[in-house]
Amino acid sequence: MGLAKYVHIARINFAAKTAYIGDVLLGSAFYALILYIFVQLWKVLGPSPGVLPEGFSQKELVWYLAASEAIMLGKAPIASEVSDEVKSGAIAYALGRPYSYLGFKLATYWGDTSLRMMVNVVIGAAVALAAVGAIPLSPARLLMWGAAVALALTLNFFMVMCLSLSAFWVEDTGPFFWIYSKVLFVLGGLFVPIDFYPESLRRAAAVSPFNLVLYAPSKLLVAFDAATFGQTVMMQLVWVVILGALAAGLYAMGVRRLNVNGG
Amino acid sequence: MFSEEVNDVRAIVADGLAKVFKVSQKAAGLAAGFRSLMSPQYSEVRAVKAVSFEVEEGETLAFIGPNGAGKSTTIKMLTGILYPTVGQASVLGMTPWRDRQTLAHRIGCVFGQRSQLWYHLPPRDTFELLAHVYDLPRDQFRRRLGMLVDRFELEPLMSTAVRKLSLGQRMRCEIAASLLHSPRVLFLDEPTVGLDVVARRSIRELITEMNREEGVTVFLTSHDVGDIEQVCSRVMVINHGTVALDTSVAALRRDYMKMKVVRVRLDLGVGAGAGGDGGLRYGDEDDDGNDDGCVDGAGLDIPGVQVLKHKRGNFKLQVNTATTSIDDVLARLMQIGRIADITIADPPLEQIIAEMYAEGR
Repeated sequence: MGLAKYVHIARINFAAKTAYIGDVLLGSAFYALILYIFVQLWKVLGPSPGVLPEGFSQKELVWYLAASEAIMLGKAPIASEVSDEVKSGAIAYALGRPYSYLGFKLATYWGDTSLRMMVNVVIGAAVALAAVGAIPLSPARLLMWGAAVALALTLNFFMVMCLSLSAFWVEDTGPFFWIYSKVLFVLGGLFVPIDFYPESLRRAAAVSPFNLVLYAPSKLLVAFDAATFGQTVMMQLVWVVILGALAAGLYAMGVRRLNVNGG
Repeated sequence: MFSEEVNDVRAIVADGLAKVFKVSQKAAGLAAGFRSLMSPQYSEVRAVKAVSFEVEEGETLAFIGPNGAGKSTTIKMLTGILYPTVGQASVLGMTPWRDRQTLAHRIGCVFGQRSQLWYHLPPRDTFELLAHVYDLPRDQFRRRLGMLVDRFELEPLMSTAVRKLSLGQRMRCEIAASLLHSPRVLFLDEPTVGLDVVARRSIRELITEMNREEGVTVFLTSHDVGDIEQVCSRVMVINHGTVALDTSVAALRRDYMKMKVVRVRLDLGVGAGAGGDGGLRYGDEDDDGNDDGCVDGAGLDIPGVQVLKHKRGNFKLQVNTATTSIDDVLARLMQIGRIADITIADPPLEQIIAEMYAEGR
């Protein structure tokens, strides 16, 4: 019963976001363009000796990029929405409802994200297929990859939520999100797998939670093995629990000092 | 006052409820900006200063006051949205900010400036969502929704996206949504703000019906005197964070709402002067000889009627209904000329409150 309400919240937000399907498609057109540019780049650089890292073919690299960009552009933009709700005091109105605010936000995030991801997966697959052809994928592998992507997006939600909830104490959270997106670019391995990095940077990326959002699930798509999958999902779960607890703590502290305009 | 026994029979109890907001202070300029970064300065705003009151179950209370008086802050503490700085409160025997989730199932809230409807979806979807949010069994939900749709005449609106509904239609949906889980107390924060006359009347009638038929306790804030007169039996005036007056609406009407503002446009070509001027000399000039709408030269002879403005056939009158009825005023105006247009309004709430203070309340 408890979970059902969140599933329904996600479903209704999915339906509401279809009103903005034009925006979603526009975002996906941008995604297709980026993918096309990188495909051309790797076609030029790929054949040169020493450019591709060990274990990655040109085809795999294109599919990796399709996956990492799909996640990056598929995650719903909740950052400014939550920060604005905190700053304006509008977050307070959610307190009068019989649900958890974090649960409500996670559900609405998933309603929006699932629509974006559906479109991105179709477009990404179409571009990658057209550019370099198929990679070997079984339904079971796809299912496991989907699970890793779902956890990656949930992990992203809690990271963004922690930053957004800092608006209880900080006037302008904009710089945090700017830094977060850039860190995700680099330590997450958005454009190139972290295997390409110099050893020290690769190690830093490997221990950070950011690689679990983009690199780890994207690599699973092109180079799947059960052990890596298990390790990835385990680490994602650990970070979801840590950041979920942190977000819940920040929320509980913030609500106590809530200042609502009006009166 | 704050015993369990009392809580059992009272819908709402507030005991010394107060809220102080800490507001950061920043002086102008870059240097001051850096200074405030190192040592931030705060000032305290006492939004609500120890208010105490009780509301019986089934009562209809208007909680009124000027902007910044502390109305919304009080309502937010009573609905569990805000923690009070000091004081106690009980709503249906629960402490709002501690038992927020449980209480949410038993109260309904309508915040005029905050919609709970999903903007791009039809109201039907929001009702479905709320049924899940409030864990309503399907049968109960269907019965309740059917009743509310009939009562609020929502059927033609149910499949239209909320963004395409008028403000009045939206508010009807808002109130129906807040009643879906059969709350025992309904908090309404300015439910008629921005609505036209017809929509306002419809909303007032619906609230009154739900109170009469289901015994829902109504706690309403509004700037509209009509809301108070037509919906509520009791009125509490809050100003500067304290309760300034707690009385029945009948007493308020008798003591403070006797004044009406009448704007009338007379067609002087028809029946002008027939039967005399009835004591009201129209078209008078001011002392300076100009017919510029000033009051001084109006020469009003009807007891209890003051001409606030006049220019040719246009009059703005303040009528003390305790002395002269509106009927009498209209009868006399019709002796002067045919009434081409007329509006009768209450004086603004702020004026009524100012009058209370002027009388030392």
